[in-house]
Amino acid sequence: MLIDTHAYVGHYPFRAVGGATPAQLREKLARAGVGKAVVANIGAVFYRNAMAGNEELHSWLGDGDPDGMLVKACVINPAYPGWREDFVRCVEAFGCRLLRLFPIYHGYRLDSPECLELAALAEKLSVPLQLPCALENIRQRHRLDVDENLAPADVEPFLRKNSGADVIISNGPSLSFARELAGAAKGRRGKVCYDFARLSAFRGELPELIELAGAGGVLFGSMAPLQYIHPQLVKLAYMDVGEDAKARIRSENAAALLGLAAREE
Amino acid sequence: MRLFRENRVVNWHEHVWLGPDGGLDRDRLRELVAIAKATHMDALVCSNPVMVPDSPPELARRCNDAVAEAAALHPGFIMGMGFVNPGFHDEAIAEVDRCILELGFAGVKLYNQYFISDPAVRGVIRRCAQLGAPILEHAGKLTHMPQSQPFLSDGAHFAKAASENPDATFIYAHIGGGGDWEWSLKAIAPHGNVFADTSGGGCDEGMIERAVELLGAGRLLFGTDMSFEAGVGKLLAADISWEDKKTILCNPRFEKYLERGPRHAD
Repeated sequence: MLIDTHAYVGHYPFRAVGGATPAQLREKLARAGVGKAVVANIGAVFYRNAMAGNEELHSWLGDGDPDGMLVKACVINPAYPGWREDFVRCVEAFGCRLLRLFPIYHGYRLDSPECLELAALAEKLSVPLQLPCALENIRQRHRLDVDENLAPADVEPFLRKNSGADVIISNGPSLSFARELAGAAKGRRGKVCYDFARLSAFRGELPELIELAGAGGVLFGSMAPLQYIHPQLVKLAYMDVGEDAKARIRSENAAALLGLAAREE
Repeated sequence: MRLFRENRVVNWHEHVWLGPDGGLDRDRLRELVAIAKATHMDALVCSNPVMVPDSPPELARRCNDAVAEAAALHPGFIMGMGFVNPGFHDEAIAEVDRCILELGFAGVKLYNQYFISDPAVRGVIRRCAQLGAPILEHAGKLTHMPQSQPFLSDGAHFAKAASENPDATFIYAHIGGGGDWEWSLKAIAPHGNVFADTSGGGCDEGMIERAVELLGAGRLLFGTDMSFEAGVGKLLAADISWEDKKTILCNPRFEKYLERGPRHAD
């Protein structure tokens, strides 16, 4: 089974995107051979009150996704009142398995006291947190969109002040992040994981990422439905790593991190 | 990968480069050829553009010599596109002639020294039209930091050049190369002598489908521009017909440009 750790449902405000409803996304994932995908409501990134987006996601997917394909992720803005109760509700009532943070969109620092408290709470609830570096290529962004991407310098002070949360850095220059964050990641209790959405399979980048992040530190993440899934499948097919490492990247690492079953029964 | 394995694949946007010694970088060429063969490509159309504003004619000539050397090392697999800086008008025309008539290149590559619609480029366009050589121009509609490439041609520049030169053939480079691709596709859509290549690392869902909807598969050319996974993956993923995919992978309207070969002095 292939587990996609970075997918969305809902309306993206800056471009018409096909596959934005849960049913459409399921079809798209199935066509690409993805067995499970962790999805957040992209509206939660853009609503002033992100929790309204999480509530929408829960209303769309219900208490249990019938085929287990879509796994819920919540988006929490720790600079918005009520975030503690919202996060606990997302985990305990909605069944969210992942916390996605957008500090640039929501206007806070990852090492702010509130965000550090949120990360500690995520660790306590055994929920990894994911940091998408970007939603769309910066060169094509709408004038109302943000004009920067998450950078290693944004993450490093957070890692130095938070030791326990499992962190996934997604859709960014993962190799640069892994190199620059190696010092801050060393000795933490929590993992620091990366996807390879912006890496090449042909230029030796994946083996180096595995060396830096560890065999358990590399995940599959596609950005569906904003991005085509198949470029990531091509990388998976051609990456110069052993079959064991490939199996871990396809599903085992994500399953362990998120508490999911890695294989079909 | 069945689509790529079972069909002829012509990659219309790739590059070879000069190495530290100023000649063809053979290590990078070996890597390029290995990746292209592993991904089932049958032909690579390569250029070696100079990416500085005032690139002198001597440098363009050296870059094109490197392309010719790569083509000679891989006959029938690597074809050339000759780079010129249109600002050096007479030298550029002479180099277009050398690249097309002597080196047997498929066409001409322009970078971002001038907008494609700039009067300075007209002489090169006219000569390419006379020689039946397509013009591949670096392109994009940057919405972020457009000042980083002040003379980057967008779809509107191509539309103007196409209107003024209806007998010329233009290729809008890398719709996945960054920038608002849909903006440019809409601008070039009414102009049947403007084609677009699919290369670039951008793989926004819907990009290929929208390009087929606006231009038709017959005005699209497969390309990678060093982003092989994105180039291959977006064709595999696109929700278009198998026939349209085959057309993009090997556009029959462009096969004639690949038939030219170097002229040998007997």
